[in-house]
Amino acid sequence: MNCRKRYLWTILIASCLGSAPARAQQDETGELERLVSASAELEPGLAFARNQAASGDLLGALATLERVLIAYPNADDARLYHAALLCRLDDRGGARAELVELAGRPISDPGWSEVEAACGTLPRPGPSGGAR
Amino acid sequence: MRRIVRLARAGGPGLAVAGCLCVATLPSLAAAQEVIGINAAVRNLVQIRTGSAPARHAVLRQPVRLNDEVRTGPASQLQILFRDRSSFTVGANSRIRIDRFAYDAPRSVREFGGSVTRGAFRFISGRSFAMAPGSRSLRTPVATMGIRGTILEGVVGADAVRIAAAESAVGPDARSDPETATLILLRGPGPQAQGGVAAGAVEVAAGDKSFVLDQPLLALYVPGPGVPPIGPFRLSDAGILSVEQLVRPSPPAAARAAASEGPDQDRQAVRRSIPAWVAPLLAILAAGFVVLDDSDETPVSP
Repeated sequence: MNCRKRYLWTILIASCLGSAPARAQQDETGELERLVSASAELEPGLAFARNQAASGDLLGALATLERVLIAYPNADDARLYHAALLCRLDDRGGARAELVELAGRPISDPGWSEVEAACGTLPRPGPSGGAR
Repeated sequence: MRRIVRLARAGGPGLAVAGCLCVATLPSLAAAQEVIGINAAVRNLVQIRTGSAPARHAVLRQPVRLNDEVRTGPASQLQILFRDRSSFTVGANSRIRIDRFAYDAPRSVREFGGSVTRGAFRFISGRSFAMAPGSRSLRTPVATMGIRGTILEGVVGADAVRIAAAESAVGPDARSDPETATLILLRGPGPQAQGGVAAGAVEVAAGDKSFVLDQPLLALYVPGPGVPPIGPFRLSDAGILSVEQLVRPSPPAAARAAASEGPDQDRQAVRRSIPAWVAPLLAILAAGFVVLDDSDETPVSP
């Protein structure tokens, strides 16, 4: 390999290496799109949040549930799980606020058990709007 | 083209192909350069403006770039998911801009900075962000928040005044500026958080004073420029709920918003469907009627 050729190869390799951060950005935004797609529908989004929490990413699970609840504000199971997650993050006040939002709506027993497991004893919102 | 031919002569076909590939990928790389995140959730009316370009409606998965300005309408929300997995949720009637962002995981570079001039927001650190050192801050017109791996909420403007006025620590008689008043609330993680999540904290600088919020549900109220901040105090459950409802739709509020917004959106759609020349034409016709009407009513002198 002559000198000129070596010089050109060096420039090309350097320029390609220089563009590596930009490619990393593209990879990262691709990963973000995957996260958003995973939470685009209610049930898969809730399942995805549970997987994130199970793997220890409680903050990621919280952000996922927030996306789900923006898209599906009436998703009571997602709101219940959100309350449980808040307790796991030591935000019991936030969990209580979530439960106030559920007043007057039917609450599933498994969902409530999950809240109690994370939060301890809390007044369960009653079907008529008060606590029971 | 001549350069590519020359490259081929000097370095062989392999070098030319490599050169073409590098040149071909340059535009897409340049376009990706300033992308800091994507729209992860969009509800109702959210507009984003890049530079001096006209504002565009936010679309799910659309890239968010540095210095984009976000504006939300009534009963509207946006969640931006950043490359470092931090998320920023913008509530109704808000205006925000992210003007500083750097993320390079291998080099442990993590920076985040933005401003909120109106409305409500929630910031949730990404897991990697929460654990790594770096400079992260958010500004409002009267306060600057230094974020240490946390879940942080804030309200700027009239809603901050309303929520703070109902708190016993503030009261309804506090002198507040409804444009700039800022309520800052640390939501967590608290010291008892599970899963090895580090406790979060926020350092707030307002005027010449600084405060640390290091327990969940501690809040600070900055009533306006030059007015001493009030707190930190523990925000009441009612206050937490009020902030929550600004950042995210609740079931009954969502139903009300849908009911009240439908006709408005319909009216906007009708407005958009009318050609632009119709309004001036109607104005001319209306003016003509007025003139005619005036001439008819000219009093006749006896």
